[in-house]
Amino acid sequence: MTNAGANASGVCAASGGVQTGWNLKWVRVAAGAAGGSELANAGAWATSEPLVQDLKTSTARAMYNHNDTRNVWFHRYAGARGTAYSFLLPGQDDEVVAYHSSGGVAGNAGRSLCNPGDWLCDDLRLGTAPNQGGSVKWSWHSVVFRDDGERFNHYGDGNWAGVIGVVREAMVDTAN
Amino acid sequence: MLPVAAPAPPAGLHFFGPVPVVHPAGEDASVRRRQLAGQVRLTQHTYCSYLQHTRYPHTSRPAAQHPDQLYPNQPVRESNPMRVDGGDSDPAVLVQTMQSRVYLAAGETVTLSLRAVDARGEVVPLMVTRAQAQGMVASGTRAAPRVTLAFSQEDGGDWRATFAPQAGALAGFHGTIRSEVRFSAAGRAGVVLFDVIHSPELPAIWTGAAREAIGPVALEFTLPLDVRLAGRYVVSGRIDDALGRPFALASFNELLGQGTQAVALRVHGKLLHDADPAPSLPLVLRDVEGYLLRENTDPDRLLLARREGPVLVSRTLSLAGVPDSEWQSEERSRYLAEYARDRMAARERLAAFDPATTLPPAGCSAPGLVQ
Repeated sequence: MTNAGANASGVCAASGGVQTGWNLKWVRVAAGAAGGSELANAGAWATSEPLVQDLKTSTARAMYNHNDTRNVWFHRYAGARGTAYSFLLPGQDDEVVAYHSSGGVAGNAGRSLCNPGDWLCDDLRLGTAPNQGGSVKWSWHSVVFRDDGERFNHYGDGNWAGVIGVVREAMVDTAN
Repeated sequence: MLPVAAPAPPAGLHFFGPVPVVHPAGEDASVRRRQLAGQVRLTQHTYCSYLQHTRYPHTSRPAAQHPDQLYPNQPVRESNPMRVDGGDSDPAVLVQTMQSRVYLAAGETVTLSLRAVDARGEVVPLMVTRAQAQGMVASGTRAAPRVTLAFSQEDGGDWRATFAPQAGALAGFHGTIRSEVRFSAAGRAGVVLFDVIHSPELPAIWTGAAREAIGPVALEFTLPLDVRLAGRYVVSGRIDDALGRPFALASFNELLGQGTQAVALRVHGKLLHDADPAPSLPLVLRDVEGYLLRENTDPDRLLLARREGPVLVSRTLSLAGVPDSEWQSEERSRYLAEYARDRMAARERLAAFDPATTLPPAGCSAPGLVQ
């Protein structure tokens, strides 16, 4: 009998093989805050939590090299149905995470990025293309969904709602 | 800044098809076919890009792939609407902030500054009224010490302070130190927060001179390190060519025991040979930074003293003796085998669904496949 897991040394009980790391083929990220959130900058959340501290944009971006994915692709999905905190979040947002973060945009600070059509704000571009204004994405990060219809917010609501639902849809398609 | 090791990824390839948010009712054959064709494109792209980019190891990468890692000591500049008392913000006033660094090793200092501008970029008079730094601790634990920061105004209107945690009550604090700066501007009271993460002790000390050697697959720069606390050390260094153009990012991520150890930062030989145009030699290693990783703990690291500026100028003036072989490893073989299986399965699914379909070439030479 085996639980198909590796022990603390990475050795699989059944086969004797050694698991030396995670085997990730690719990653799909719904509304990911890899570049932090301005809500953390503003102290909008309980700040004694380490996770919240880490979400300050300058901290989230300095913590690790986001370009280093060991050549595994991160497919990013960015929602834009944000209203409640738009006064704190630059550009388009899903009510918690702004496009610079959910879109995987490189740099040591956040910036304002929007859907096409907003003349006052640079566009977040799809794929790996540099954004309008010249900002670039982290390597191995590709924006596969931008919420041009402003239909999806940050929240799953326990029922795959928000931009999480878009990722679920894509996962189902891939699994079929 | 013109990275010479590899071109920037080509723009705009969308290897996924449009994301179908709502399926049409029933099993529409064209939708299914589009899904399967998308899977063929995705698996082909995944395989080819991995094959191409893993010619060099993860620890020795083209500078162009790490655009925001090349100048780690550049200050962080942010601009946000003024946050006013009560939690609201004033979009008519932008507060521009700068902090010289985010992570502070023991003994390091940080410079903080701020100013206010209006929508046209004109400076709005600002007065710092109170500035205090305090260590952030978990709920229910004893509050960390608090120190006052001395902000003063410079000629250009910026308010600036230098904060040295080791000089005061926060010298022994390990973790996030939040500086809360209160000010008045445009007739309203505002606040801005600066966070730094402070390490109170050095887990290891750089010692001795850096050395250089041509190894089996790479040009190797070795930095002696006197390790006090054993564990996993994560170190990175930037390599410029002789003209000061960023060429590569080298990294180190290995377990080190106590005592004198060697941190090797490598430039993979093939990376040098593949560069077009070839880098001007000699290479220069600069801006080395690193930390001891403390896994499953917060704070998750103890920082090494950063080495700003040039650390070593290479003696290698020709690529004649530098190896020119692709990176090979169990990891690379395992991933390529898995991605190849995925690609084959996707092609078979599409062919089975639509036998009349013409599958794209299986090679990796098509434009865009290796970005």
